[in-house]
Amino acid sequence: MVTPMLWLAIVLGIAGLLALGIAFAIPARSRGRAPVAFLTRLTALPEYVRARRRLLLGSLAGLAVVALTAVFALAGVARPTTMETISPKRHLRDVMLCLDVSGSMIGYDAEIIESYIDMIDSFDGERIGMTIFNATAVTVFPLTDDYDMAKEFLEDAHDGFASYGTDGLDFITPTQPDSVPGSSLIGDGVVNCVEAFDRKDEERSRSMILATDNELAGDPLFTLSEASDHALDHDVRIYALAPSRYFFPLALDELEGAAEETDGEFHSMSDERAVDRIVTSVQATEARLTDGRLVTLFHDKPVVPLVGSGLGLLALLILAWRMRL
Amino acid sequence: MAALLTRIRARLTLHTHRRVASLLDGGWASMFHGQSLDFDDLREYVDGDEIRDIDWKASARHPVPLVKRYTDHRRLRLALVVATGRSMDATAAGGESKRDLAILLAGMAGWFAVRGGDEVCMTASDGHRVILTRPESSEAGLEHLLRRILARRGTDDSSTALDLLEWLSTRLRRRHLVIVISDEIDLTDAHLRLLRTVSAHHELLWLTVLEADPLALAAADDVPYDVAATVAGAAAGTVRSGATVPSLLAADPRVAEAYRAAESARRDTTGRVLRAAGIVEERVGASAQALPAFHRAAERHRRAR
Repeated sequence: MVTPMLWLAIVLGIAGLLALGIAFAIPARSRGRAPVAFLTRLTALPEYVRARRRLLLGSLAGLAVVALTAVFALAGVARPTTMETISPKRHLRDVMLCLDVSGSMIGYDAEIIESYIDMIDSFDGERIGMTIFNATAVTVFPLTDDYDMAKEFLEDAHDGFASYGTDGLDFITPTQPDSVPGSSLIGDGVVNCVEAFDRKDEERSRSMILATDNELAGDPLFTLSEASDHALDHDVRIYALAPSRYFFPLALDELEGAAEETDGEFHSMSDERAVDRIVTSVQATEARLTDGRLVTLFHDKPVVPLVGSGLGLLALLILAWRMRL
Repeated sequence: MAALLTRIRARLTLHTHRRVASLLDGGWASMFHGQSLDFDDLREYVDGDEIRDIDWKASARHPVPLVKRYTDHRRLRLALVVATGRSMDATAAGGESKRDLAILLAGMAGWFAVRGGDEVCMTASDGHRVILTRPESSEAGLEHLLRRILARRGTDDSSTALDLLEWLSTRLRRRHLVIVISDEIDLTDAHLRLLRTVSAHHELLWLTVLEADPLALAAADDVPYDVAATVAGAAAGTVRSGATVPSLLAADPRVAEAYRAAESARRDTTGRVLRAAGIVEERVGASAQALPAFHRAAERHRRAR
């Protein structure tokens, strides 16, 4: 909340206080003009005392209303404004979380989901979506900026992986239908993830965070290189997040090649700061690629002061009418 | 110098020119010259006796001067008891100063007395003690008395006519015509004894100067303030709050109603007390009412006797 016209309100307020001071300094007409004797015969009457007290209370109430109205009016003069800084381009970014839930990855998935949850906290304005795949791919939630909902899903998924499907979301059964032979069909999963991006006719920045060990077990429709070509065709950059290189160096090298082919990056989960680095790198890359100029919007908030001074004015009119001024 | 009396005399001659001159003469004369100058006896001179009453031949054969005593009413001296306290600086019902109205009334009474060859004295408070002035029988002397009333203007003096009358009741030896010129002080049964005493020993006329109505003043936007509070507050440099009546309050019918009731009850009590003491009272609110009220008082008193 900022008040660009605060100086004017302060000047007016000081002027008002000065006027009040001068008005008090000048001896009022009400100091009495006609001397009378035995005035206590009137002023000691209980009716008079009551009326006098009523008048005093009325005057105090009037004074309070005047003061409140003045404060509201001055608040209005100060022009209360909320300032909002937005980067419009940030809303043009889509990030797809792409998770391999094959048997070889089950051990890592809970940890990866935790990384995703951490990642969501770092996002601001981007749309995120989630797709899981094994033999076939399933969209957990489409691209959205409802981070609370996404987090809820991810937490359920985390419970699911931690309990191997007995608690929370079960990602294992739906992605392994009997009709599809094989498992860990990485290429198919990546193509599915690429297809999960919507608004294809719009000029948007698209990134996919692909968590997989690239351990193929079956006969996919698309190989990983075909899938990365597909991603390249759709301007989707692949940021790969893989378990330690220790076991399958060849498969991970291929994955790194695919990621780099799409201008993406490769990160190993052995690196504790991999998640931070991915987010930073996604945002940095996108900031480089998109126009990140900030726009500051000022929203006038005149409702409270205007309503307040309006009500005050109304109360003053009613008070004046009641007192027959 | 004779400014006060000149104005009063002008007013009297103007008003008494035709209608009331004879009535006044009759009323007044009967009061002051009602009895013959029958010689009663001689006694020793005491302070305050008239020099002209001294029987010089008798005194020549006596160690101390002797004065002639005449029967009662031989010469009725006028004693003015005029309230001069601070409450007299307030406004009268007619809008003028109560003090001016009191001076007018005292001047009228004094002038009638002086013109009829009688003497006028006045009880006056000089702020510390009450004194009885020397008897005056000239217009200049009367003017001097009136000046005393005027001189008490603006002083912090809470004494009332009742205080002066109480003092006077123990000092006046001879029978006097006592004319009390007071504002609307509270007279209750507690004062009845004093009033009866004075009324029994002297001829007593009571002229009341009516107070202004503070509610009417407030309604006319002439904000009334208590004159006593102002005098008391002048020392402190401030006027006590509540000593004025805001004009907004004058519009309150309940206040007006209560004030009317209280005032009428108070006036009833005062009137009843004065009647019970056998004192003729007339009320004067403005200078135009002064002479008719004075006449009525004199006439009623003459009849009552």
